[in-house]
Parts: sequence; C-alpha cells; structure tokens
Amino acid sequence: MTTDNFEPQIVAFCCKYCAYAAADLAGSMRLSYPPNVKVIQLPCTGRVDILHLLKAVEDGADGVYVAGCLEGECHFLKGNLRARKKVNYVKKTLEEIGIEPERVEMFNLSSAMGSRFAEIANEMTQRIKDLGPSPVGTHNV
Amino acid sequence: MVFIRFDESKPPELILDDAQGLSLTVADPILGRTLNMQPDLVVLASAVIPNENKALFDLFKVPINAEGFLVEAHSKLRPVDFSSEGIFMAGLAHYPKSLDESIAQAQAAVSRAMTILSKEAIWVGGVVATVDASRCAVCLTCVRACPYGVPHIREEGHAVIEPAECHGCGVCASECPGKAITLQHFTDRQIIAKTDALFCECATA
Repeated sequence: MTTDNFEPQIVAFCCKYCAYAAADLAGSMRLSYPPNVKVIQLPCTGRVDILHLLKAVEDGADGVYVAGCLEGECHFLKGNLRARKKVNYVKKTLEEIGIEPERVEMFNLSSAMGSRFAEIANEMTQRIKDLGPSPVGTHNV
Repeated sequence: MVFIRFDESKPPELILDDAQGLSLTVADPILGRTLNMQPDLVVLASAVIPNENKALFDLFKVPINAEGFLVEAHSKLRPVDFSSEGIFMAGLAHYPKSLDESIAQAQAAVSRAMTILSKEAIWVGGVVATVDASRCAVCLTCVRACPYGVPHIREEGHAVIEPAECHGCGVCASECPGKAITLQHFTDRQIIAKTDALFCECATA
C-alpha cells in the first residue's frame, strides 16, 4: 500500500467512565471523526497492561492510544496516572527497537468532552498519517 | 405567541420614549426586514449560572461540562443517572430548565432510585478481580496498588480479594507481576482477542 492512500489503523483503549462516555457523547452530538480509530472499552485505564499496548502494535496497529479521565478525576482515583506511566514505558521500549514513540499516546478527557474525543481521534489519525505505516504492520508486506 | 429570531450580531434595540413609550426594533433574518413594535412590557430572561459546587461534585465523582452543569450518563438512555451507579440527578444543576421539567426529572430520579430501594438484595456486576493462589508470590503489589485497599494477605498465605468489596477497576490485574490476578470480563485474553480481531485477515476478507 502506498502512503498516498494510507489509511492508518488506530486502536484506542478507552475507560468506561470518561473517554468511552465522551465517545458516546460525540456520537449523540453527531460529531464525525475518522473511522480509523477502533475503540476498546476498559473499566479504567488502570487496567491497561504494557502487554496490551505492545500486542496491539505487534498485531499491526499503526497507532495506539489510551484515553482516560482527567488527571485527578479518575473514577478509580489513580488508574489514569498508572496508565500514563505504562504508556511512557511503552514509548521508551518502542524507541529502543526503532519504532517512532509518537505512535503510542496517552490522552485525558472528561465524559462531557465529546468534541475533545473527536478532536483527539482527528489529531491521532493525522499524526499517524504523517508518520506513515507502522514497520510492524501488514501495509508493507 | 410569536417568536422572532434575531442574529446575534444584530441584537434587538429597545428605546424608551417619554411620549410614545417603549419601542422595540429587531431585524428578522427570515423575513429579511426590520420589525418595529410598541410593547407594553419587556421581560428579560436572566442567565442561569451554576453554583460553585465543584468540591461536592468531586466528592461524588460526578462529571460537569465546561459551563459547570452536571452531565448525565447518557442524554437519551440514562437521562437522570450518573455513570457511577446509584447516584441520580434532577433540577437546575443539570441545565437551565423550567419548574415543570425539574419536577418531571425529580420524579424520574425517584423512580430510578426506587428500582434499587425496592429490592431486598441486589445483584452486583461480575467485573471483579480474582486471585490465582498458586501464582501469588505474596509481593504485596496488589495491596499497594488497589485504590480502595481491598486486597489483603493473612493466614491464607496469598492475596485475597473480597468480591463484594472490589470496585472492578483492574489496576491490580495489570500491576501484578506474577499475573496471578484476573479481572473478570476484562481478562488479558479477552482484551488481546479484541485487538487480534481488529487485525485478523479473516475479519477483513
């Protein structure tokens, strides 16, 4: 696949209380965001394991992001802070093996921020389009 | 009752003339004309601004929007619920509304609360963490990681998580270095299966 019509595959791990609710709100607000983003619901971003992020990259995701509650407002107190640490760890790991760390990101938003959810999806899709297909992905095969 | 729209850049103009009384001029964008009328009385709709309740809202972990009004779990499917179970809302804290609407919403909130109060016992969700005792190394990671202090290690010789106390966030499951803890319904296998399914050739073929 050439980069001209490159449509990235992005996995978004969203917490049930904020990011997933914001995605729901974005839908009821009739906001449009790129279909490249595939949402996986988690009870809390604290449930995100380094393994899940790496596995998504290994499976061929061009971008992966974790979206949780605003810092200090996590429904489960500190899950989002733990998730941020793990995202940072994965970024470092990817850099070491020669994959752009920007492919993995952590975002924070509240359940009332439907438009922010769409904005993040746009932002991430644009970022990955600029980076091009993941070297791990099936696009290059 | 006649409603007249106006453009925000061209607000209605009200002039008080001692001889003729009130004179209201407004540009109607639909008619494309300027209307003039002599009303007997002009009543302004005053702004409704939410109270500074952030400390209280933080305590209950209920979300507010950019204006400071409460946000329901779902505007259509769960209009008086919060995403946190067992907390309901009604009235102006939600958004500016008439008294009728506040009362209807209060009745809705009461009936939602009654669905819980009318029961002798309630079933709670199965999203709780369980410990595989044979894998537990008694490292205390879960004890430290749990935001609610639920896991404990006593004479059993391994971590114990009481299902009725577990809030189901899954922090312990992802922190456990020995992978001894599983969060029901959000197991590693289930989460990985979801990403696998997204990229599986057979799914797109």
